[in-house]
Amino acid sequence: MPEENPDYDLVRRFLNGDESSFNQLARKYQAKIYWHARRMTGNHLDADEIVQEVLLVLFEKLKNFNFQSSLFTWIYRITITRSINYIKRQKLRRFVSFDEEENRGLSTDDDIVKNIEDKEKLKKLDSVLQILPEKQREIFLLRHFDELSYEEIAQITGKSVGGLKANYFHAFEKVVNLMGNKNG
Amino acid sequence: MHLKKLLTLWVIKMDKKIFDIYDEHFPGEENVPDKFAGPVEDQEKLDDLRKSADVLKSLSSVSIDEKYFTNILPRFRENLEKKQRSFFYKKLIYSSSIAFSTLLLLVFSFQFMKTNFQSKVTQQNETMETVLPTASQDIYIASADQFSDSIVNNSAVKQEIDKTLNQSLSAASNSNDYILIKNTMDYNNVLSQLDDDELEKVYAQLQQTKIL
Repeated sequence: MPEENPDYDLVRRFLNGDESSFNQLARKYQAKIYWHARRMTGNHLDADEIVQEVLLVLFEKLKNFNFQSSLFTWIYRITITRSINYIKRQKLRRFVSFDEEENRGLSTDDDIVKNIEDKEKLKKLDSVLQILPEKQREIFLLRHFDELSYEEIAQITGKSVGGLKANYFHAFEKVVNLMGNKNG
Repeated sequence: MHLKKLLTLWVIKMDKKIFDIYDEHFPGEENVPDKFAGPVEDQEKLDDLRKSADVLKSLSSVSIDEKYFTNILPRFRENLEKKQRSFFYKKLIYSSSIAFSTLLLLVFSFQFMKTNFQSKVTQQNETMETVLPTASQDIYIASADQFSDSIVNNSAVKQEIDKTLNQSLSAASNSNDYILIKNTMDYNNVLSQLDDDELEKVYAQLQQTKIL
């Protein structure tokens, strides 16, 4: 008998009315959701908004979960879609209202990273990651930081493994070159 | 130029090969895999690649305020409650606006129907007033005509009328009035039978009698 995914049990319990199961699921994945969103958007406030959005989607759509794929790929899919949509929305908003500087100012004040050295590190990372196109950034993050296999990334993004490998290579090359330039 | 391009392609190809080796054993592999038995230059390239990857990862390992993660769920619950409350209010507003518009529609249609009904009744009454007398008159005349026709055409009634008329006539012929009329017919004889005094008296009375 195949071993059942432990997340399935939590989902079933939640669907049967046990609210604490949702809390367990949220606690399990909230950091992954946050860091993925943070690296995608490059700031804390946007990431925080995405986290809240993803949890809300999870809460409302968990009844549609089909127990065919693993829950974490499903959560990643939601996170990625929400992140990309959010970035597009923000771009449009900035284009319309020209408030890019204002937004960036807010994000540094409310950041969860308090150490100045850590702030600098994150700033450097963000400056490199933000150069990548969104789709490529997404694959790079899933592979490099979330350490997912190509099969898992293919499940999440719906792209072929070959295409993902090529994308990751180009992204990696770009990032390394950028870092070299910045350091040099 | 051509040679330089070829060299660049070779470098990229080599990089891709080294990258594939790095990527195949990613993550967790500490040592360079045994199957990689390339030149020292490639080994160095792989080491550089690993270092770059590590630096990139180290940029992401930062100390954070853990309170943020403990507060995510309570904030989520708060947001959810707000959303549900606003959804409830929206629903309430929506349903009450629907109910109000339905009520308004009902009132208007009732009012319209009432007005329509009243005008119809008034119109009907007016029509009745104008139509009914004519109709009743027509009916009356028609029935009277029918009745008279039935009488005229009825042979029994005809016979009865004839009989009554004959009887009346015969009765009249036997009555004194008729005799009086007969007598007037012998009036000259009566006058001839009177003497002179009597005639004068009659004449004097006649003179005294005012006619018209």
